[in-house]
Amino acid sequence: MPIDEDLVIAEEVAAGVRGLLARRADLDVARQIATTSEGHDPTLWSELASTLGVHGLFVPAGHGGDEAGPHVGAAVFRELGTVLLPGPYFSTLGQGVSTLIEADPSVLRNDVLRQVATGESTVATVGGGAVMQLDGSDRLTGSAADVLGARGADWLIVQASDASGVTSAYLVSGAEVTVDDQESVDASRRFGTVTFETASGMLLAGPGRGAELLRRGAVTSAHLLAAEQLGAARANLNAVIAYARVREQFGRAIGSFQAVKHRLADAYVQIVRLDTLLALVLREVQDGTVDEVRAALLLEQAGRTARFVADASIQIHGGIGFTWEHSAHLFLRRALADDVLLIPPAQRRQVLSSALLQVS
Amino acid sequence: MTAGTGLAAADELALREYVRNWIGEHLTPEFFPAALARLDTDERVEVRRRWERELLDGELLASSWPVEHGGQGLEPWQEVVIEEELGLAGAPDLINLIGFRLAGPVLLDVGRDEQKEHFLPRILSGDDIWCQGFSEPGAGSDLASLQASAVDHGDHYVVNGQKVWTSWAMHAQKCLLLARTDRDVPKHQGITAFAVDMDTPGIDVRPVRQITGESEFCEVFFDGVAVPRDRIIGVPGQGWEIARLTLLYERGSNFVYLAGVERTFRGLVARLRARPEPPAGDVITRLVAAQVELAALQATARSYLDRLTAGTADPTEASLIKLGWTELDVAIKDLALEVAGTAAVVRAPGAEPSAELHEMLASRAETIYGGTSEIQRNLIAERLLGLPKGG
Repeated sequence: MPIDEDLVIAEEVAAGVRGLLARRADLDVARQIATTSEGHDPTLWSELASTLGVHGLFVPAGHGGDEAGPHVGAAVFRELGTVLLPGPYFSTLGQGVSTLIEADPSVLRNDVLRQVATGESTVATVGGGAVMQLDGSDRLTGSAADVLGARGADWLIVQASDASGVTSAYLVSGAEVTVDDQESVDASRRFGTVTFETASGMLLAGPGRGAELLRRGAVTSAHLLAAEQLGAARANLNAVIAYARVREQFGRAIGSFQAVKHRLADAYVQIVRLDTLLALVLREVQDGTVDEVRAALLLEQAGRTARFVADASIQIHGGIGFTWEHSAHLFLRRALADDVLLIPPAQRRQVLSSALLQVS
Repeated sequence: MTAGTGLAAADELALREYVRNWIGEHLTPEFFPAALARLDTDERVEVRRRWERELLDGELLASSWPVEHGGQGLEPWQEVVIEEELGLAGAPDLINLIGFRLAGPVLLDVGRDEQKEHFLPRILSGDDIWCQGFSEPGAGSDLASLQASAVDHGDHYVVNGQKVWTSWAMHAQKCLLLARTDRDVPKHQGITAFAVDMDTPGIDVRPVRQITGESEFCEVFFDGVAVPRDRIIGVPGQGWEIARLTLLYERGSNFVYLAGVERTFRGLVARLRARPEPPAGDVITRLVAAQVELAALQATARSYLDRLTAGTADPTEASLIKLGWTELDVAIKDLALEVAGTAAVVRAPGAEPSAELHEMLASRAETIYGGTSEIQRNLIAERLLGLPKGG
């Protein structure tokens, strides 16, 4: 699809999502949802999938989706980030679908994509280099922590290696695993420990290609995570700017003091950089040229932006910004949780410095 | 590509290819910074004049000026592409930077026809190098409070006062001068711009030695200097508007400098790769931080360029790029000096300072000139974020 057309659709879709969130889940409501035991509003999930058809936008046309381009996907995640919406959105529509699209076709894989497009199913990816063991009859056994969206996931993507150490990737039904919740810094980003006990799996990437499939899934979903981080950072900056314009000390708005102004200007600089870098990477995703270096670069800028804005917001809000009641810390928590997804900081820097210096 | 309409019709790829080929043929070693550094000041000026001649012959200078005034009539984005390629190739700075990038565009925008006909050809021919008489000892960031006065004597004005940080004033034939012509109106409204001949009696130019040891900028004293009335640029009282215009043109030059930052970064990476030992961990950390910052800043510049092409750019956004490239350049040159080690800061008696030391010291000017980093942040906060002005 031509980029211009993609951008028009992206704006329409974003407006639809924005409208629904304004009615159903603003920042405060989203916060309430995050504190429920499920940590997620399945009704809202269904509304987004059926009323707006959001889920189908991420799924290829041949598998029950509408296959909108990366600009449309990014527009959706920018809106979700604005309210820090909890739920298996990124784990399913971001990393999960992106990984499945890169996987070898099979009846089950194609069917799971169709289930995601209609909002019936959620997907979680066991990343972080975790590898289960395969027994003689190709059943998976093992356990992995730090899995985003593990609780309630209908399907899991996971690597497993055979007796000779050759690794493949599999798709496993959520009914075949047990999940133990972990405590997360961010209630809107839930993680769990997934245990496989002689679980059966469908091959997603054959012998020797398991790690590469998960890496490609991370690379081809990085733009969606970055877009969500951008949406959150923008909302956070807008909130603290609004506060700096009305909060008075020494008889004047604190936003008129250079110390405050300059920190906000620097926050804005970071946001513009993330926004413009994301725009370039979206074109690379569209062209199929995005690689691990570009994904790492984007996530590095996204992580830096999220942290910079979150820290500035807490500082400029002053005492109120340190309270549990205020929303400032929610953005810091989200920034911390997001930073360890897909390609964590140490790995990003390894990827980037290797590309620069050609050292391994 | 042939003269005339060729460049104006070029798309980005064709233009880049033309400029790169041209650079390959014309940017000979005599123009490299290392060669320039070995010359004395007068020789350096001569070589730089020659470089400008080359650029003009290649249709790569004053390229966005209208064809009837000796330019190529290129779009702003096309000029930016040319400047980026020159910056990437390490082309030397212009000696008549002020003439080509500030005074010329100001005259084109607000000059009278006879002023354009008189001054513009003399910039193109190399007869007039211009300097910029803006800053004063008491008026730096707060330029509008400048005190140099120009008093109306009918057919001429008499100028008294002092200007500072006037680059290349000792080689200049013309000065784009801001002086106060009316003290009874708010400070922004009482300023007028003049084109002053530097050989007018009463002008005294004194070079100022800089951090680097060189003397490229000057103090300029005006003592009863008579300036004909027809040397007013625009109308009396329009000086502040003209100053704002020149700052915008100046920020347009950010693309050439941003390309220069990329060149500096690549040079540092190449030196590190040539070493048998991998760099220390903290060097890698800083290098990766610079890599990310450079890529993100280039994306911002690219987006600005796209919107400049579409005619939808907000001029204040140039502050994002000026602030960005200057602070990044300082960081990279700090790192380059540190990596070069003791040999870069201690040298044999009489030896020239190392390139790393010279560049690191010279970079300190970048976050000050053309609007300090503090002023850029104020502009971003007030104009783009809507924060209130200070009390």
